Amino acid sequence: AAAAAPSLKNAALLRPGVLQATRIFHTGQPNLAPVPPLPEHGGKVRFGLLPEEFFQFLYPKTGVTGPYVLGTGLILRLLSKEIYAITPETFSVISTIGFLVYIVKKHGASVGEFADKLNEQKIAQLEEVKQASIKQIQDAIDMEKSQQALVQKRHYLFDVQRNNIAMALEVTYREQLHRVYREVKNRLDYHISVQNYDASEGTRAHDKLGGEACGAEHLCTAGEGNSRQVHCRSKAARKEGSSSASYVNTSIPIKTARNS
Amino acid sequence: MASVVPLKEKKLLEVKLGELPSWILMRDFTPSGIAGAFQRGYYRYYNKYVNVKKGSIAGLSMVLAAYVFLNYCRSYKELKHERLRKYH
Repeated sequence: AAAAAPSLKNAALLRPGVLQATRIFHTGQPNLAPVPPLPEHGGKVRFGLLPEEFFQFLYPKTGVTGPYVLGTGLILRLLSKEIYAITPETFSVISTIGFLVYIVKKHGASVGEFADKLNEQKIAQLEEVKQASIKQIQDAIDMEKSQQALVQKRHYLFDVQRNNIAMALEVTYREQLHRVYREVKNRLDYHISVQNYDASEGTRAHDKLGGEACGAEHLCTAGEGNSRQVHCRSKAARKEGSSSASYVNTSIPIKTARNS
Repeated sequence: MASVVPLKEKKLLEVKLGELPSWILMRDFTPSGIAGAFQRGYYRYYNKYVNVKKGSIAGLSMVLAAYVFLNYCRSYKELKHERLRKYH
């Protein structure tokens, strides 16, 4: 290691174990992906001319008064050796600089506040735009979430539809059952009334015959097709419900009655 | 410990006196390198004293003072004749 140390100064490659990879070279470009905010205050400067680093640089050796003594000595040397000559221009320089210093001391703070206010207005505007955009996106997110929640509740809709269909099927089944009962009963009634008529043929009056004829007429109001009439009649039956007052809509074609 | 950082990447204040000539020779003196140096220097000053939230007059006054000083140095030859005494 001792033999290798002097050569490391000019070595092109470094050992991977050495803590060099994290050193930021002062010629490199630091990667600032989220831009850091501006610093609050600039570098500190004394008398508006001399940066604070100069005072800190001399502090360990000379203490606090070092730079001031240095400054005084330099100014006296400049004047005595006439590196800086006192000319009529000097007085105009003094008055100009004095005037500027007075102006800056008096109104510097208010100008700074004015600039700060302008800055704040700009920032507030941008912030508003940002907040509006955020709010818009948040509203879109909420609406999306509510719609997703609605999708979750779709099964209620399906349940209701399933129930409706089941009820409709039940109603149709019952209505058809009732129709079957009615038709069978009607045929049996017909046979019974035929038997009764045959049994009491001689004693029956003509109005009863008229009544039977009415009954037979009703039996004959079947019509053409079985299924179509059934379909229309069953619709009407569903509308009226399964009330027993629907004898009039009985559709027994006289052929099937004769055949059975 | 001997320095393990290559000479090329050291800052000026970290360069030892013996290494100074080689460090100066190592710098980039092409036109683009010099332009880059001016750019770096400008942005260093700008970002330290001007591009801040609450800047002060120092950012501007230091530049003006440096300008005044440079002009005085340039015109010292003519100003020498306005001295009050010849021998100091």
